[in-house]
Amino acid sequence: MSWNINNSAHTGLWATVRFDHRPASKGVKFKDGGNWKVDFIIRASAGAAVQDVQQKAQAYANKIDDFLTGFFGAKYESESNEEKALAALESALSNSENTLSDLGDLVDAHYRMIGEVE
Amino acid sequence: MLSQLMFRLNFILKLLLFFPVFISTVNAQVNEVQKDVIKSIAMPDEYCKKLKIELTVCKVIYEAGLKKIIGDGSNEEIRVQLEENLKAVILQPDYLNKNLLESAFVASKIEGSPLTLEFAQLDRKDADNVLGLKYSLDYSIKKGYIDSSGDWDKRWGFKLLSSGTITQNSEENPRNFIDLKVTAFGSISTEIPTQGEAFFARAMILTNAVNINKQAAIDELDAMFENALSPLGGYQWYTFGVDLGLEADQEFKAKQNKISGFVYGQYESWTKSSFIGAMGIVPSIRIGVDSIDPNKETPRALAGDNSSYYRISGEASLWVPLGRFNDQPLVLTFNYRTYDELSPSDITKNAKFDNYRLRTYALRGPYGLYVSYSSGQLPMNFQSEQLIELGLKLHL
Repeated sequence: MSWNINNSAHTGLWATVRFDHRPASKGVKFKDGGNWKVDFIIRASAGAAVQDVQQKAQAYANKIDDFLTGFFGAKYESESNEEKALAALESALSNSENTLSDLGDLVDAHYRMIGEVE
Repeated sequence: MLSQLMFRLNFILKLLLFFPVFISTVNAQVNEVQKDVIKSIAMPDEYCKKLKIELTVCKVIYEAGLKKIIGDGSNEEIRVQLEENLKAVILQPDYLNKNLLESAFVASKIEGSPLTLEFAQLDRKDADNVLGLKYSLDYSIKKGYIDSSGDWDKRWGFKLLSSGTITQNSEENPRNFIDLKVTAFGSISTEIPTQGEAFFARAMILTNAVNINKQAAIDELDAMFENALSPLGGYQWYTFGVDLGLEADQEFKAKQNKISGFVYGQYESWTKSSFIGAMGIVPSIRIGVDSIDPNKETPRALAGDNSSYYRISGEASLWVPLGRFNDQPLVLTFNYRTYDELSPSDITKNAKFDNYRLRTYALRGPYGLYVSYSSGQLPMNFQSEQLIELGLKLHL
């Protein structure tokens, strides 16, 4: 599914990233946020070694997981769990070609937001 | 899907086969006036848009066909030019990433896998750019979590990691450096406290489709998050571990075994009263002590010293938000990588293989880099003029 304002996993993810990137994210709309590159989101520096990017991806995956479960009350989908969700997020956040929209699909696949039917 | 890929390939082949036959038939029958008419009505964009093949490829074939029809060059000249133009269009990172790596068939094979691939144009000093395939592998062998009370998440794991850039000719590779290792690590990070049902319900309302872009809802949500996070002060992430692996050139001729102990830390302040919190600056640092056992093909060994040695490796990164540019966030990033041999021999020092530094400054936004500047060198470079993306580079 593409980046969708009616998808609570997508809006929860955008709210997390937007909050984390304040004040730079001020005025950026949900729709435009979907095009943000993940290397920007995890704050990877140009020229960084792969292990540096991987550490940042790991840290950010953990932060997203904490926000979704701790602030939005999200649970894991029945076929997922914390380990699988974090592994998927880490992998996606390490790939500089991905956008937040790509990450949104993963979040949707691994997390069940409040009110979302299983 | 494979069938789609085959369809595209078949279509391109048919076009290539069809054009010479069609052209030679037409060519025999057109005169100068007709050639001018054909030229004037040629509309490659319109024609190519109707076909299900890449526009740039179609246009190259179309242009070759048109040249043949109007007799602009001999068969051999047109064939050579067609070949060169097709190469120029197809052997481009954007084309290959879009049509090969992002094709349904390849994407389905690597999606969700620990492997990432990307074609890139590699800059070389005083030489033509070369096409390279960048890869990285991040495979989690085993990982676990440690239940504990307090403000920290704790976890451990084992990973297989590899990264590098491969070119057709290794001697032309300005990033001729492959890193392959198994890492055992432990991590601790700030634990964000779980809120209650009322908080969840309000957060869901403030982020629904109606409210997600409304400033009042954003302000209320930010205040809720800030209130929940204020006792923490910031987000901290620390990792420590041991790497076992090797560094090599892409042909694995020159290689060195490596055992490394490392620590990594990243800190993000959530307190506006601190300087880095108010500025949004996020620093990170990694320090390692490496035991290196090189083979006789490494640059250092070729210079006359193939003994094992210890080195300190380090990397520091800085993320500095600068405000907004073109109505988008603008950030300055700085990265500094260093490799220093401990107690190097005179041979190593004289050959300047005892330390390596690489500094990269960049201005970027959420959609990519605007400009970057790099200077320095990484280990395992054989030709001093082939340095990694040196100098000022505009990313337009």
